[in-house]
Amino acid sequence: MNGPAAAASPVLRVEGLSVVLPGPHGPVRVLDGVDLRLDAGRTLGLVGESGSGKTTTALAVMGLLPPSARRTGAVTLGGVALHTADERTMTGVRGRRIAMVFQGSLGALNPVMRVGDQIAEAITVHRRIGAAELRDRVHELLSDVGIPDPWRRADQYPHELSGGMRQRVSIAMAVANDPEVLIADEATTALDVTVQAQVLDVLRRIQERRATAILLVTHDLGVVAGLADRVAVMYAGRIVEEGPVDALFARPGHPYTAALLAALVRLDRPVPPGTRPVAIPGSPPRLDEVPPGCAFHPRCPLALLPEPCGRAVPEAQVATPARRVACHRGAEVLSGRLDPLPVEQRAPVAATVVSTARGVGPASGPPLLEVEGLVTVFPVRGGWRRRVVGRVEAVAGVDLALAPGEALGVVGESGCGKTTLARSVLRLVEPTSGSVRIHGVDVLRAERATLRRLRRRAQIVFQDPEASLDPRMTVAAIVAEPLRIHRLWDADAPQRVRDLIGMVGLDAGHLDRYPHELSGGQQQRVAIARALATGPELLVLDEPVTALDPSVRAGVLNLLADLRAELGLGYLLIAHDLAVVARTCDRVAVMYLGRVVETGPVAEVFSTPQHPYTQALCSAVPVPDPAVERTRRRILLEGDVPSPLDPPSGCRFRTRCRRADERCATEVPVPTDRGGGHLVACHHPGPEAGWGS
Amino acid sequence: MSTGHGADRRPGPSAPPGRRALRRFVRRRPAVVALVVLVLLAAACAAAPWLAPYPPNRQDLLLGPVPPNRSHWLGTDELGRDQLSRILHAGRISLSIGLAVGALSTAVGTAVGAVAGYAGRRVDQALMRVTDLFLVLPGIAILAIALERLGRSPAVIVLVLAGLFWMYVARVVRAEVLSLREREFVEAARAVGASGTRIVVRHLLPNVVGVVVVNAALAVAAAIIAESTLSFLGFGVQPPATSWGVMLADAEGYVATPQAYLLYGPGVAILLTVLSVNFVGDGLREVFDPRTAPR
Amino acid sequence: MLTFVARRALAAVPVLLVASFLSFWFVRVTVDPTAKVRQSRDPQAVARLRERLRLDEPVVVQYGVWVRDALRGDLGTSERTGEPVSRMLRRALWTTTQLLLWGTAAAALVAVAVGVYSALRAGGVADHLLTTLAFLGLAMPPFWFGLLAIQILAVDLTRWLGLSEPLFGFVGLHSGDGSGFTLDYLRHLVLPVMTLTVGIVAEWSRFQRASMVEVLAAPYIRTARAKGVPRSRLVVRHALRNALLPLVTVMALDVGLLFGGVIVTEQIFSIPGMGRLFVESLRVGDAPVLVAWTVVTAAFVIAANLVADLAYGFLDPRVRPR
Repeated sequence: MNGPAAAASPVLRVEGLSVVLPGPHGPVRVLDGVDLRLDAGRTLGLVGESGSGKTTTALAVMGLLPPSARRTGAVTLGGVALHTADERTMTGVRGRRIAMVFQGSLGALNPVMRVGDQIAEAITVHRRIGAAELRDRVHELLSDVGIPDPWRRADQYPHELSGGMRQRVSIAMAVANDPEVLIADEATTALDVTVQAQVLDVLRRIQERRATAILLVTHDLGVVAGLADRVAVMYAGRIVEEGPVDALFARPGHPYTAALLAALVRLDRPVPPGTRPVAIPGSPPRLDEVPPGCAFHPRCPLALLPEPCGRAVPEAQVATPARRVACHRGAEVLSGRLDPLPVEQRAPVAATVVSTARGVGPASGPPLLEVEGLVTVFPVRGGWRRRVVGRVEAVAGVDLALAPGEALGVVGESGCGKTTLARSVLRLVEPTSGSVRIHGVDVLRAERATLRRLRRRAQIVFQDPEASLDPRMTVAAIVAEPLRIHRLWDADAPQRVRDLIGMVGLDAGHLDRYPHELSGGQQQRVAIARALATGPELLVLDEPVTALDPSVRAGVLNLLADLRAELGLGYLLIAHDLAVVARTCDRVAVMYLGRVVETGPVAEVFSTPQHPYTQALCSAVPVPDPAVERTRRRILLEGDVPSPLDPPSGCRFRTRCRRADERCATEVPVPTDRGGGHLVACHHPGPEAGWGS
Repeated sequence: MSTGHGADRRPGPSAPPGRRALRRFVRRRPAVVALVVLVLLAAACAAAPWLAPYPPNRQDLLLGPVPPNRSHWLGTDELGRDQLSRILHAGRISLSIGLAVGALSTAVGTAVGAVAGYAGRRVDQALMRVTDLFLVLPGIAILAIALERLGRSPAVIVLVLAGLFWMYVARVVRAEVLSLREREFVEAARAVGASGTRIVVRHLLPNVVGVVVVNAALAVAAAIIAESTLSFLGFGVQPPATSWGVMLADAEGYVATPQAYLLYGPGVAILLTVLSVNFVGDGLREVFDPRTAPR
Repeated sequence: MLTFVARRALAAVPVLLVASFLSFWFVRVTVDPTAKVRQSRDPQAVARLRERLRLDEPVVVQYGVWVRDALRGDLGTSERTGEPVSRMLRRALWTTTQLLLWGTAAAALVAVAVGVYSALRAGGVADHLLTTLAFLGLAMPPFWFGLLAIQILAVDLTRWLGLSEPLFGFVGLHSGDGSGFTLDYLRHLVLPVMTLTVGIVAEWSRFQRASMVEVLAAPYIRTARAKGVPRSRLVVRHALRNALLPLVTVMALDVGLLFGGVIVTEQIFSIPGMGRLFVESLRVGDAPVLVAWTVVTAAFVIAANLVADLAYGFLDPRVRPR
């Protein structure tokens, strides 16, 4: 799988590809001289953040750019020049010789067409085929991508399928004509990790069977590690680095690649105490405001200013025969003479900070937050009269405790109830039963005035920073609002607002801005400042970095860690990304279908998970180390999460569990302590054989 | 897409939303032209007593109907009344009715829509049932009956038209409030401890101003057309007062006669007014549409 | 599917009851049903009528009586003509239904064609021209459009072409005592249908254009292109069907407005339909006709909404019942 690249012949060649799109302030160069080479039967990972141009590259190769786009450069597919081909020729090539799978949103499939017909169409637009043969072919494709019961599924509409199923259908559609090249553009991004693992597995098997070359476009280096032979990294419309996956992961040649890799947290290798991943400052540039010279220089720790990094665009240097790095200092970095992440940036967090962050345990003092038997039920409305047709127990009896200054992570996949839990704790949704106490004060039975007082002490930060800020208020007004509401607005208040803004790493110049004028990372910092305004002791963080670009995430997570250390805050952190929790939290609770299945210290739960679901979850997270990722054994879950409208009896995980027996169907497992506060709610707990090797 | 069409991160001095909206409006050429036309038209009508070359109801039976000429730019009718003067005076009533209906139906519709959107399911359902019922009733018939029976003063016309228009605003405002209510910044305000009143006044209303203004413009346009239609059917304002619709109704009898020129003046006045209002409304829609990225 | 239709139809009944009651109530309080009899100065006749219509009892009871009679086919007798109201309505409704059917069909056809064409050529000269026309159509009082159409298309054009009889008819739906589906009928239909639909053609075409532009930018269109679907098939099979969905809802809402247009159109072109019947009855305060008219109209609008509802369910699998 990883042989010398020179031996293979390129099936897809991209040379000097540039794309200019019209913008409101003149033309914008969104791609600038992109060179790519994809060998037959191999996988090339194209990695970049939003706005880096990776999707534009894919669309340009497919000839799917909007008509207003101007494209220059060459695209050659198996000897055929696509850049000179007319639309008619391209229509014949697309879907037959080169196919594409898009991000798996509901909108990616035609909502009013049966999925079987949509797959059939991919075949019939390219060749004549008999009805019976066509039907067989569609069903064969559906079973190839691992869809059970293809006869029934083919007659269904997209909205009747789960996200994972839809993405399998997209893949079936794309490989219907055995194309030479398959472009997967963020094909697993919208999916849960366990489903992502299934879909990646489908891609892997298809490649093995049909020797399809895959261009894997993604922002996730972990996904690339497991699947790609070579990797190209994009930044601001250019390829900054390209090379074999192992070499590039082992020794990145561009400071940007190095920073992306450093920001990754590996579940199989916990963060050494006292250190933390490096955060590069700022955020990726808008494409109409790309800095002169090397586009990365304002964020680069190695930049030589003003010359050459601030003036000259670095050319791609062929560093070793198989690697290219577009960096003025790339040769020094690759030869090992220069560390891409200099020491001062990698400095361990000050000892005092670390001790407060990690040292405060559940033992000290009464709990900050106690949740007991919490149940939140939503009515499900259906039909045109929106009548109640069912009930969903989004949170089905959860117990949690959080000590002052402690950080508890709640992880789980979409629909597991973790966000409802976060909102129930603060009574932003009304729980059905159970109790929530903050410093002993009962939240659920609190009167209006008590609740208001509680709101000063417990605050929340939401997932989507742009949506959580009123678009018609300035930053100053947003941060000041809690002070005004709680009658804390006095002569010192304006200074307090300035302090808060400084505390989250922004400056007074941002106070007069409106939310849409800030980047995502800055918006989230404003939201954090607002949450801190009344001096709370508890912060509920609901997916605080999910909406942010990978290179921006580390900065916000570091900020959260610093704030906790400085202010002694307790965090209830909701995340689907285990790595975020591994970095930020002391303890973790794993949720499945409304229940906590396992809870305990982060290091312990993630390194030796005892619940079969936690094991599958941890196993599904790609390891950003190509050598490990290629060889490790994965635990793949079968099927999808059951409908929360009709959860399985007994243990809710039993329908997908390999250890399930009769007892699991009848008896709800109670959490039992496996030692050291590591609680597992399973009838057959224990480490998975072979796990961790 | 990863081509940077996302949130605007333009650094630089920031203007308050009102100023930004104005700047974006000014960039829509047709809307600006329409606004100028509208203002000129309204000013001319308002100044009719001073501007009009003749008193609107002065008859000149000896003159009779004459086609447009130098002393009567738009000609005269059977009774020798100057058409231009009559159009300017009639515009006062047509425009007033349009504005009044727009204001009234927008006020009622916004109130109903905001309450329905924010007060919760029960209230929402009740209010929406009423709204849907009003939409099902044969509006123009009810209107005509009401005018025939309650008298045809401009006040009654305004009341009845507003009674038939508010539902459209209500539906739009409700939909907007419902979607805003689910937005996280409203939840964030609740989490901070903001009261219901504060959320409605500080967070919801400022964010629905856009759709309200746009729909008010549409209501004004629709009201002017509806008033003229009523007049045409014979249920409009009564003489000596006149509106553009009444003038057109009078001109109906001259179709296929040499006096067909009487059809054009008042019709063009209505067309121009409604066209301008629609263009302004369209410009406002684009200004307030969150999808046309604020710049 | 059948139960779905039945359930929707049943759900429309209460709406129909309330709407018709409100219409009934409104006409009762505004139009005195005894006005005509009163003129005869026969107190006994007035008393008999009051007794028969239960005018001394609550409106609900009066409505009940009216519904009971209506279900038996008895809608009363017109005070103006002495004819049974049911017969007058049936005749008028048939005429108006022709107008509405032709109007809706023509409007939908033109609007969809224009909307799709503009969307495919968005930003081009043709698009700008059609947009301007649509704005003009929206800003035009329909009756004025009708009068202009008569003046220009029937009178001026005929004179200019030197024809002996008008190119398009503008009185009634047939010349003289003609009937049936003839060329004469079509020539009489053109102007009324244009007048009736000028507003909705403009509105629907704008709507269809917007909806088509949105659909063409949808991810599934890109997916279809990526698998090599040619442009013609892309537009017809993938874009058009999805873009038609929202129009169906708008069309249903506008049928109510169309009834307003019918009144004007029939007035201009002297077509003996529902609109003319209404105006004539209103002028003399013909209570039995007005009551029946408003109730029947409300029922018609509700039925149209029901049809649209069902059509939507048929077109969109996401709301289709299983």
